[in-house]
Amino acid sequence: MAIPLKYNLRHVARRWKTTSTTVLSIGLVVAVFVSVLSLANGLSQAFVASGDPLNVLVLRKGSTAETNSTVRRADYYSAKFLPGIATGSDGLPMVAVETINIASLAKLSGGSSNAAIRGISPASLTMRAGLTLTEGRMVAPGLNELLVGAGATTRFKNTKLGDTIRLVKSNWKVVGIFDASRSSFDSEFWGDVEQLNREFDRSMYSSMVLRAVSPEAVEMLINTVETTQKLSNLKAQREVAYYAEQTKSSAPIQFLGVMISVIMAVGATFAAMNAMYASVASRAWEIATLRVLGFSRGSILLSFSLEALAIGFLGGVIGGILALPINGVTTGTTNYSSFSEIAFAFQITPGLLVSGVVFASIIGVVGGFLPALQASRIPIIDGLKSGS
Amino acid sequence: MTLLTYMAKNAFGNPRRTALTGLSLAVSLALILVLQTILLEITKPTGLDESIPRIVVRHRTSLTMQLPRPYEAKLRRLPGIVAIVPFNWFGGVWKDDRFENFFPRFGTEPEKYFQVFVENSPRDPAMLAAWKATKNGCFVGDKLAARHGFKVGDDLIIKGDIYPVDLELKVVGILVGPKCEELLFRLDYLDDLLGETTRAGTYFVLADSGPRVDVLLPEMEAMFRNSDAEVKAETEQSFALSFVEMLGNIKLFINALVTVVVIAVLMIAASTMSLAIRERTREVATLKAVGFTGGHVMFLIVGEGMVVSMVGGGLGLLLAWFVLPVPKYFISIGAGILTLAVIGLPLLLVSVLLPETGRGWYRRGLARLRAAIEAYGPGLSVFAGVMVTLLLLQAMPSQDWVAFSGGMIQSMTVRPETMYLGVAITLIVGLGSSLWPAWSASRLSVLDGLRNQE
Repeated sequence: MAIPLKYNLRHVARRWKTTSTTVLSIGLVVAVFVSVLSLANGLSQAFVASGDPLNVLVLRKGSTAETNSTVRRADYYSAKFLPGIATGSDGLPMVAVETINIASLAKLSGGSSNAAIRGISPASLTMRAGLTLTEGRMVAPGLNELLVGAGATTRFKNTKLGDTIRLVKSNWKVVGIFDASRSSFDSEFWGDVEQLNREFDRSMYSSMVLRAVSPEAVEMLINTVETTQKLSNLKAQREVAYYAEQTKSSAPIQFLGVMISVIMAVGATFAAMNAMYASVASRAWEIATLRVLGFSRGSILLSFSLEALAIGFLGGVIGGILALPINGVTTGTTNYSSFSEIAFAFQITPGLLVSGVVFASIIGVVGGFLPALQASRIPIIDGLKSGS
Repeated sequence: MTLLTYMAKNAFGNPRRTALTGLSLAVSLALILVLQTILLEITKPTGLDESIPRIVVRHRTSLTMQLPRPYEAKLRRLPGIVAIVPFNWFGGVWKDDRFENFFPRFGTEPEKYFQVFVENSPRDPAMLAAWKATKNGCFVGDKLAARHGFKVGDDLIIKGDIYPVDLELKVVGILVGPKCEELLFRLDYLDDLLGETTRAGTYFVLADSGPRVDVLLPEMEAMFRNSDAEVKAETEQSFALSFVEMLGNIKLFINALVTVVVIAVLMIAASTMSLAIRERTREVATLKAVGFTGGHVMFLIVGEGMVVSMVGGGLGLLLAWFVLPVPKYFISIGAGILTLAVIGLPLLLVSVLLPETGRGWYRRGLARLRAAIEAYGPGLSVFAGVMVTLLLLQAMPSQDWVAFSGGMIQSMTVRPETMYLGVAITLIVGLGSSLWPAWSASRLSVLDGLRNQE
């Protein structure tokens, strides 16, 4: 027969002073767990959100990223009229040649960081669903004009409408701000590809983006690029797959978060153990009475384990609440596959909060195990003798 | 009985509780020291000699832009320059793109390299001659060579990713110095492969003195102002630091973590102390009844808190100091503790859950089994833990962190300033955890205390 849970919960409430410090120390562990993992989460989300399922990204064979790929003008002409490419509202095939350049720009927080400056074609904007111009207008071809991503405006100086930025040898004017729904494009600066190529002294493009007419046509289009003789120096892949690959850059943060939380959890487990031992010690007589009443050792063990679980659970909930304010705070790091700054936000998901609570409950149960064991093994006679 | 022995006796009056609190402090403190060591290792890496007056010149726009090669001769003419060498980042892939197979590969010029990097030298002087005679020859850093087992005479193929060519290199020398992690090949070999003179990513310049560097930096930048390729000149230290900055605000990140850990450990210690004092309410009242003042009582309790925190803190410091610098110790001891828990806890659980019912041989058998588990279980799990630790200590290769982390971590040796921080935190925890219970005990009325039944 099981001992009612109410028995334990009332005890927890009565000893609230000791319980609260234990709960809070478990809460802090969970707060760290949730915050660090939400950091990793936000970073990978930036990559997962990048790219469009209908887009095919074409890079040079052997290159590992846009930054070290080259696509020639001739490639563009050969690819432009491949079958399976969608036609834009202007009646032209939806093919964009792009270049990715890196410029070190002044940061709002002081110092400087590498910014990704993407040279774009007119089709680039319409090909990315979820990307909207929120302020200003599109850049005009042949002019030194830039669009700035919403994320980049929170990281770099001179990114307001009308500001000028010096890139390599000339000044560029900010004429528009775009919101790319927290994808990695959000951290970029966009300008006319030909004009940027002149600025950065390059004769070739970095990549080419083709838009397929339908989801079924994507695979076909990739095959067509791979088998076209004139494009044998290139390889094609889904744009989303290219960015998904970069989510691995959040793995070190994830690893660090789990490591730190586990080590902190060891400390919190000891705290839970202390609290539970004290709780058991002060109740030897009660426990013995329960045994006399016919409760088995197993049910005593279960009862005290549940008490520890409740303490852990409470800590988990508090930890989650402590971590919540960090949700949405933006920060930045360098994306090493593009060698440029990527802005992203801490992102707390319901799933993360649930794993925090589970983690805390485990801390409680592990910490409560030995004390509960002791409780279950108190000899009845000794317990009854302890009086009080 | 002196006051000190009274404190110590109280601190160890409940040895299990003191051990648990001490251990949680030890583990948390070790974690703080690890984080702090990593932070220092990132921001001030070991092996960077700040006394060498070296300048890095690169394109003003970014590192991905390159500088014309004639810049070298122009820079060389500035007064106070001892030597200059071009550097070119090749990138590329060796074997596959797994992280552990990544290491820096630079194109440079043999003779000039050693003129600028005076702290590095060929393991054998004849190696430099061999490099000058072999166009596709390369040097590998001693640490890199140790990690991948590279030796003189080996052939290495580096597939190009930035450049559309593959390097087919022959190892002709080993580079010896404080921080030699890279592969160096000849820039003119790359020029040959590409059929054109490449530009240089950076120029490393050795100045004749530290003060000269401050004069040279603005001079160099002014020299190429308003040209097609403007330059940025900075000291080698600030060049290295700019890579750290790229990681983001790592300092804030780690400091925030450390703060949270300190608060958590403070709370753990405080809860233990208040438990300990509450159980001794009558004892405290007795002390006051026989004439100890509130101040005395406070002193005694704070002292007790200090004893507990110093035991735990000392253990944490020892842990960080001895175990951390050697990956082998770190992993084998961790694995040993894990084994102990994995074997010990289920055994304990079984011994409790075995039913006490039944009759005859069945009941006797169960009782015997339970007795056996209780008698040998703890010993067995401790034995298994110790064996795993010893076995791993024997079996694991004695690598340092450089090799273990694939060059990511240079060293995990705890530096003196980190140790001071650890000592300070220990004292803060001792004081912080006991002040509140001590204060409330000092205000306890004798009557209330004696009446207390707990």
